Amino acid sequence: MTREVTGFLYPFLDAAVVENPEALLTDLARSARAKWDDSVHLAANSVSANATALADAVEMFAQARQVLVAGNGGSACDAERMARLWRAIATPGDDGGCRVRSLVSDPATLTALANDLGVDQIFARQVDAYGRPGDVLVVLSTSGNSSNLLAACDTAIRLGLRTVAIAGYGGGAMADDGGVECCLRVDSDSVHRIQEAQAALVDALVAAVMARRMRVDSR
Amino acid sequence: MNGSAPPAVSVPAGPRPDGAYDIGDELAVAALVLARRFNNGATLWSVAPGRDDHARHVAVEFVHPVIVGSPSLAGLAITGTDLVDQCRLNIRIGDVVLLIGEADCVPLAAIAARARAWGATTVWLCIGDRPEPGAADAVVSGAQESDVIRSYHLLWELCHVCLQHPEVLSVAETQTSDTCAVCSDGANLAEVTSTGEHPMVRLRTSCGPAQAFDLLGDVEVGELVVVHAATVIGRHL
Repeated sequence: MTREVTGFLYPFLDAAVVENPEALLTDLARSARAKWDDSVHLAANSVSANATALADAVEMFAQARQVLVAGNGGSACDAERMARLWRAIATPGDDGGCRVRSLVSDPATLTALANDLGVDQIFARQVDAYGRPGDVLVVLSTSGNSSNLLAACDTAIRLGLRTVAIAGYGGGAMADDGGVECCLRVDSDSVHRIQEAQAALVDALVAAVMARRMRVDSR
Repeated sequence: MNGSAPPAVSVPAGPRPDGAYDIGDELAVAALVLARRFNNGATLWSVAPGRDDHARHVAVEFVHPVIVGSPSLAGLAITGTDLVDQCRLNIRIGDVVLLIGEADCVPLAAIAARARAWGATTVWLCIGDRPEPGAADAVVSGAQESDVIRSYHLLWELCHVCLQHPEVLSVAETQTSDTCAVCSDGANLAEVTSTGEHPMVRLRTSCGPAQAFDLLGDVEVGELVVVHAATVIGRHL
C-alpha cells in the first residue's frame, strides 16, 4: 500500500526557513511532479487491479432501472461527477433506461435528515425512499469506513438493492464480508491520491457502461 | 484613489527551454500566488462551468482541513447559471478566482478578463489546450477532465506548505500613479458601472471605483473597456 508521511504533506520543508521564493518553488515543483506521477500510476494500477469488480459492476448497471450515488465531502463531489458523466452518455432514446440519482444534491433533504435523524441517516433514509429491488447503490468513500455510507448499504441490501463501493485504504469495512456486494479498492492511505484513483475508476465504469450499450445496440 | 494593486509574483511559470510546460513548475507557482493572496485575506472563488462538482470539490478542500492542524481557508464555489454575474457580485479586490475548464469556454474567458477589472487574481486549471498567454495570472496544464482533480489537490497541498513559510509570502507593494489602473499612462481594463453622467462614466477597476471620460461616447453598463490616462479609449473584445 502506498504510504505518505502524515506529519505534514511535505516534511522536507517543515519549519525550515527558505532563502527565497525560487528555492521553495524548486522544491515544491520537484515534489509535485513526483506526487503527480505517483497518482497517475496509482490510478492506472487501480483500474487494472479492479478489472473483475468493474465488469461485475457494469453487469449490475445493465440490469438496473436506477443507480443511486453517494459520498461525503470531496467524495460527495465525486459522486456528483459520476452522475454528471452518466448523464453525459445518455442518448435521446434512454428515457426509459437506467437513470442515475445523486443522493448529495439536495441541501433541503440532507439538512432535514442530518438535523432530525442524524448524519448517519442522511443516505440510508434516501435509499429507503428512492430505492427499489434491483437498483444499484454506489458509494464513494476514501476510508471505506464512513458510517453513513455503511448504513446506506445496510438499508440497500435489506431492500434488495445491489451495492457497489469505490473505497480507499484497501476498501476498509466496505471490503469486509457483508459490507457491500462489489468493492472497487484503492490500495493507498493518502486521501487525495485515493480520490484521484477513484475518479479513474469512475471514468472506467462509465466508459464500460457506454461500451456495453454500444455492443448491445449494434446487435 | 484607494485600494492597492495585487502584489507582483516574482517567479512566473513560463515554459522550459524546450518549450514544454512542466506540471510541477506550474503548480508550485500557482500555489505561491494563492498562498500570498490568502496571506492578505483573500477568498478563493472556484468556477467550473458545467462541472459544478469540481467547483464544490475545490471549496471543500480549502474549508475542510483534511490534515489535522492545517488552517481552514476561505474557499467558495460559484455554481449554477449566470456565472459572470455571480462573480461580479461576489469577487472583491485581492480575491482569487480558480477557473476550471477548456481554453475556449466563453464564461471562463469572460471571468478571466473581467477579474482584472475587479482586482482579482486568476488561476486557470486547464482541460485540454492552454488558454492564450496572459489569459490568467497562473495556468496549470491538464490533458483530461479528471486531471483537474489531481491539480487542485496538489494546489491545496502546496499552498499549505507555502503558508508555513511567511518569509516568502510578503511582497512589497507600492501604489503610485504609474500603477494606478485608471490614471496611469498604461492601458488597463475596467468595467462600466454607470453612464448617467455623460460624458463621464463610472468604472470598477482593480484600484476601486473610479470615473473616466468616455472618449467612445456610447459605452454601456457592464461593458469591459480599456482605460488610459483617465479616459475610456476602447472596448475589450
